[in-house]
Amino acid sequence: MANRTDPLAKSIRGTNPQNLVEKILRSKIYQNTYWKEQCFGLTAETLVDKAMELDHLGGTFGGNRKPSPFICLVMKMLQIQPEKDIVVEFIKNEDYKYVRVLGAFYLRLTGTDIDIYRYLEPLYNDYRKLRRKSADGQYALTHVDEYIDELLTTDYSCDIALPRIKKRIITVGEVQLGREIGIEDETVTDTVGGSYIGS
Amino acid sequence: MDQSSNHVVGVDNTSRKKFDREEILQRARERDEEEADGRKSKSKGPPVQRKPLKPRDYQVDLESRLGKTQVVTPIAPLSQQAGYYCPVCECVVKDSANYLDHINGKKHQRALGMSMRVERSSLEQVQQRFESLKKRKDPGSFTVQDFDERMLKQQQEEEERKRLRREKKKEKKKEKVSEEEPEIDPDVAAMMGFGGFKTSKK
Ligand SMILES: [Zn+2]
Repeated sequence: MANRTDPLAKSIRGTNPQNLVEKILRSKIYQNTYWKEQCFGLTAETLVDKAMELDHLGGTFGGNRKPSPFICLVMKMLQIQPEKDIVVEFIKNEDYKYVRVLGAFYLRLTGTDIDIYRYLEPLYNDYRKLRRKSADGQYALTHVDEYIDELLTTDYSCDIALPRIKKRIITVGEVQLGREIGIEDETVTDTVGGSYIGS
Repeated sequence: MDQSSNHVVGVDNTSRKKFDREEILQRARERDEEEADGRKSKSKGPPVQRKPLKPRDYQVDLESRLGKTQVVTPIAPLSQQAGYYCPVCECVVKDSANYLDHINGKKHQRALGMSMRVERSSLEQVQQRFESLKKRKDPGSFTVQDFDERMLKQQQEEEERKRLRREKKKEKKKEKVSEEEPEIDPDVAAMMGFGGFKTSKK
């Protein structure tokens, strides 16, 4: 019950958003103590607190594949489905790199191809360091731009299968976004691809 | 064929009921009335307005009684039984995982007057949250009150640590005493020239 998707949430790619996380990982998250203790009853507003406390990203680790707080918060966002402008706020914030990456990951999971390129590509300019917990429980060093590249060019990250997106060049060609998708984020307007998720 | 029809005439305990239209209609009307009444009586009370779900603003205490020894009797009050006691629902849950499930559950939240739905936050709320949290983390806005709180917390932690250490020492001592008992008599030891480490240095 505490794990129900917000009744107002729109379905994403024809399914309950939470189903974007495959079933085994989902049940691992539901059983996780951090999930039960810290993620219970969060709204998009109070989730900010938890996101700011993040100090590493990662999927699962250890023999019993314990989910990381990062992935728990991704799950929580799928559950409460914050508005798009809130997700963009996460991504655009300059002070908390893990909040930024969390927003980026969520948008990669739920956004349209156009939005994904529009809001994630500017982050190629962010070279800050990130700590990443790998499956063996060890921390590895990565960087924001490096991780964004992983999100944009691969289809699997942090033990979650990412939906297929078109290659950037195709997206650009189709929508003739050209410069708009480019690195200058400030010029972005909402004229293209108004639809966000589902619908 | 003929036989069976004859049979029915004899004892009529296998025959079908006849469909009595009037009777059925009558029953349907009665049922309708009843339902209408029931619905009215249900909706008479004001609908319960439950608050939207809120995250806890405190840390769930799962470990304070960890490692403690406690006598458990079936006649003791619930709050002193083995397991986690929920004062809201007055029930005992056997382990921490189930306790978390319980306090996250519908029954418990209902008892607290909460619905299971969370509020949807607006962009403004999120932006304000960012701002206020940033300020809080900013060392420039560090107040005396913060300082006092931290000192108090530290003191409490320190006391707790000391207490644990003391307990551990006690246990060790007990073990040692039971081990060391069959030792040589100190007088004999002194005679033999090794009076122990305590007295040799003065
Ligand atoms: Zn309860």
